[in-house]
Amino acid sequence: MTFDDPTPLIGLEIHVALATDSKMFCPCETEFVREPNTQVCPVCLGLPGALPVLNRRAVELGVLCALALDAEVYPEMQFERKNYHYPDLPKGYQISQLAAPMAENGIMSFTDDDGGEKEARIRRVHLEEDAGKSIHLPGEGTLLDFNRCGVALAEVVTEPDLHSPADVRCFLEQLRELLRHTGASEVRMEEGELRCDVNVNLVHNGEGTPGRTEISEVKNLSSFRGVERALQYEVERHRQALRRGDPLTHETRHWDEEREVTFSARSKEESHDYRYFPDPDLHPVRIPRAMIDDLQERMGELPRARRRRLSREYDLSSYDADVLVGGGLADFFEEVVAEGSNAKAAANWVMGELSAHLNAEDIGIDELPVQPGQLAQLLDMVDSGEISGKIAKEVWGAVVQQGCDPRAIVEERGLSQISDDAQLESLAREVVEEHEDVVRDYRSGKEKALGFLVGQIMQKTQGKANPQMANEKLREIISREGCE
Amino acid sequence: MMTCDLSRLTLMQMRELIDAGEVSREELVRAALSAVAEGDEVLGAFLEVDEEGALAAARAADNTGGQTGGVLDGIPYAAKANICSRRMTTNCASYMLADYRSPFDAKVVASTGSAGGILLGKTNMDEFAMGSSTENSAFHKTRNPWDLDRVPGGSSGGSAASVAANYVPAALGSDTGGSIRQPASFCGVVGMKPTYGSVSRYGLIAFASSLDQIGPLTRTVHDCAAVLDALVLRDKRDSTSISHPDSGRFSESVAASGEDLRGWRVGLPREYLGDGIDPRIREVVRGAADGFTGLGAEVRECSLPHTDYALPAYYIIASAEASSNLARFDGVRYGMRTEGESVLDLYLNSRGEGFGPEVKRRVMLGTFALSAGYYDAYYLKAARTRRMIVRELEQAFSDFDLLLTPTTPMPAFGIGERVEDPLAMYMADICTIPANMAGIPAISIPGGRVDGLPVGIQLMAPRFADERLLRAAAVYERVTGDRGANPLCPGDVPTEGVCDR
Amino acid sequence: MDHVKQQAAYVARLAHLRLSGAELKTMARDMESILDYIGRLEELELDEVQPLFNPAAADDNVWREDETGTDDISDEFLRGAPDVRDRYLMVPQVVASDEVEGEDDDM
Repeated sequence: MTFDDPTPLIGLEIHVALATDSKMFCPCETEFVREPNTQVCPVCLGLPGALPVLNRRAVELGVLCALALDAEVYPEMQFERKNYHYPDLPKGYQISQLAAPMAENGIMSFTDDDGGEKEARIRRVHLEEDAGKSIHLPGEGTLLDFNRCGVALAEVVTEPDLHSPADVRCFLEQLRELLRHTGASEVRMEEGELRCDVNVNLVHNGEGTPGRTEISEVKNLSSFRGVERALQYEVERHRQALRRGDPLTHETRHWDEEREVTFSARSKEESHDYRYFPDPDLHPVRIPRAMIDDLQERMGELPRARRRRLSREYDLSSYDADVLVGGGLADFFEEVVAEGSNAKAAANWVMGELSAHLNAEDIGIDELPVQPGQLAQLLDMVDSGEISGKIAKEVWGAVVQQGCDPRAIVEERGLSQISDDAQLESLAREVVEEHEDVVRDYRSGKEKALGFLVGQIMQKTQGKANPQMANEKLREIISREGCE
Repeated sequence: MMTCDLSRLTLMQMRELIDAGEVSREELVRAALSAVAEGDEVLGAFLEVDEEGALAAARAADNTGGQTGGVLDGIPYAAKANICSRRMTTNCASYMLADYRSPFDAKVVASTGSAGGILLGKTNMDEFAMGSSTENSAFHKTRNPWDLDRVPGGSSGGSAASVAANYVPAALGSDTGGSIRQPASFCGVVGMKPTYGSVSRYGLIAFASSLDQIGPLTRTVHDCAAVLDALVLRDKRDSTSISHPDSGRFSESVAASGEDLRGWRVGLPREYLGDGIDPRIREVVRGAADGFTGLGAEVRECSLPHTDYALPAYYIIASAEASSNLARFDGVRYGMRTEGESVLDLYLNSRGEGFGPEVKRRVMLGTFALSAGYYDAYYLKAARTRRMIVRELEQAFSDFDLLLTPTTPMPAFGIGERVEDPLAMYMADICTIPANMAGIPAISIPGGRVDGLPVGIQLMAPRFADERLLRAAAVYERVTGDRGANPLCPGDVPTEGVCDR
Repeated sequence: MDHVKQQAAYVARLAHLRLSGAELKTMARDMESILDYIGRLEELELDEVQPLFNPAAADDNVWREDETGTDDISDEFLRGAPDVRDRYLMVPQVVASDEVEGEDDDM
């Protein structure tokens, strides 16, 4: 690619904690716990003599990640040992993947802050186990907690296709939504379930003198804000370097959240010789086609694709599609429409009354005691004029409380809209007689006066009168009488 | 000094007495303990003996009354110091783990316990199973019961010696390149490495994961089969563990093994009878071949051309896996810690002081073989060589039921003779290594004498043909009658009256 | 010999083994002769041969269901650990200039 201006090339290495109940290679619990070194066993502690046994669900969830990222899942994968020493790595190696990963060559589309569509290629998605947690006490030492050690992770590596810190933030936010949608991970950021290393450099190879800086890697960022800020800092640092003609060095850096700077962690080019080799304790794992197909089916339609389809199929604005999909309301909405409702009416009601109710009661859509068919019925009654919009809201209130059919409520409470011609006529006459002065106002040109008269009819009928018909009747009568 | 009593009986003989109610388990344990007390200060087979625990277990079993029917009911046994046990330390004969207490039992300890076996003590070994003489133990040397100035072999030297000296009728060892079979040969006992994957490695402190297997050392083939019945089972905690089709039926198979080997085809690979083998041992093997012929088998020479490459390939693979398996010994969570100002110092100090020279050599070799730029030429090349060796053996087994070879190229050498020359030490494994590379079962049984010292002969069979191996070995043993007579009581053989099978 | 010693020193660093001057000298010598012997593998032409990493092959995948439940050995483990503070394990400071590799997280 040609970049006429110095352009950041940003690649990400994202570690996602998979939503398994137990760890990757042992039956220890993964649920977050406060007391250190309680969710541990010989395997995740790397005690002498312990051996790993793979968690099948971790493979399934990993495959889901890969499918969500449109990556090719290989029929066979192998775990390898990544050998290095660090206090939070009990075995002195991490079980990971290198030469035979789970999946490669995916792509993820995302929307940037301006609503533009962008893409980032996914180089690979593989499985590995997490290390423990280190807490550094400057001047004293390092505390170690192995509760997290051995948790199943999916590592997602992108190509350097991202070109701004803001884009990275958008990408990560949408990746999070994607992963949550598939159920592969709950991505609870506060529990470190998504951590990110970023690789960034600046390239300028178009017109004029080309230039580039060496890649710097910033490790272990665990909030989107942190990622964006660290990248903003880094990109600027690289820009200044490029201007000076300093290509920088290939190095690893850390982000200081407080001082808001990155600092060099290892200035030596001492490349990490991880001495990968296939883990002899674990045989190659076959991922059957049937598993992949089944997971693909269960994953269903991904959020982006669904937004587009809703917009197209139901002629909704992208904003509406966004709200429905983003709010988890799309399933319900589509079912209501399937029952025969007008899409726009259904969308409005779902985004409006229904959503408001969920918020007020602090419940999810699954806990709503209303069936899509019932809402469809309600909307139908409004559409056919059987009840007014106003009455519909009252009926809705009763339906969410009692969970019964709207029609039953209407009948029970006699809330049917009064659309009977004779009845309306007589009501109109009454009102006209009672409010001669207002009638005179209307005749003299004040349109609003009619509204008052309609309101009176509504009052007399406890809101049940069909307002359009009432309006028409009044006009009719007033004009008739005017001619006498 | 002679304790020619209960502890000299074979496992099967002890079982009979227990079953018949003629002896208690406590008596058997006491006999074992007193044999150890009398002789082990000189011999050095054990690193640790748990008198209290063993007696308590024996008494508890005695008190439940009646026979449990467990195949090892009441049998005192020893376990190599790299097999995790909650009782006693598990120290791999290394300073690195000098006081280490494992919070869990190895699967084999649990299963031998369930079968009624009573763990007496942990036996000496080469540090982290790296060695062929038990001289690499950080703590003390073990002597060969047949000649106290000679090595018992290694790395399961302590286990072999404990059986040869009649302390216990059975001991567990581990075999990565011959570490059960070679000491069995040097000590005149039976030692078997089962099919890779048939005995769980959960709780075996790993040396080389794709080569290690736990197996029995005993005085007779039937005893060996009995122990195997307790050891061979599928363990879901070990991903390399497989279900063996003959699990639980080895003893039965040996009991029904008959008097001859008519129709059996036995191969004699010529690469195992070359100049690297002591000519007297070649004689013993040829004598054994005649023995097999006498039993009705058809014995023919064959060729396994890649045999010579097995040793170098083995050393690369074993060292590479070991360098990774031993990375966890860093002073952080357990084991020896030599303090340092930084974590790096902690690692360097602890590992520098905790590991002996042979361990360091192998870790260095292994690290090198996996390092960038050398992985293809060393580790990968060795893995391809391994494939060739497997193919060759598979091919041979399409023509033969068994292969007959020496177990070791030399009889037990003198203490101190080879310990300064690593390569010379490595050469002790040339006959045993191929079986580990291929994951096939192999057994060493007493084959004869050289200068009064026992030498074993080795039989190898295809994967899962452990039962076949035991059957052939049992027939040979029965007919040739060389059962590795008790070196401490020369001329004494287990008495007739006590069920001679 | 110096080149071999240098290489040995590098490998020792990778393996986190402290070797004294004398040890390094012996080690370099031993390495040289061992590697010399092992070098005979070069006689084989095996590029077309698939490497074998484990002699056991599983027909079915070996894996377990996603169930929790371990024997709680955590207390025993902590009792045996060299330096424990409030259930955390303690090690000396990981110094930034350490050659110790690895991921570092300050959370």
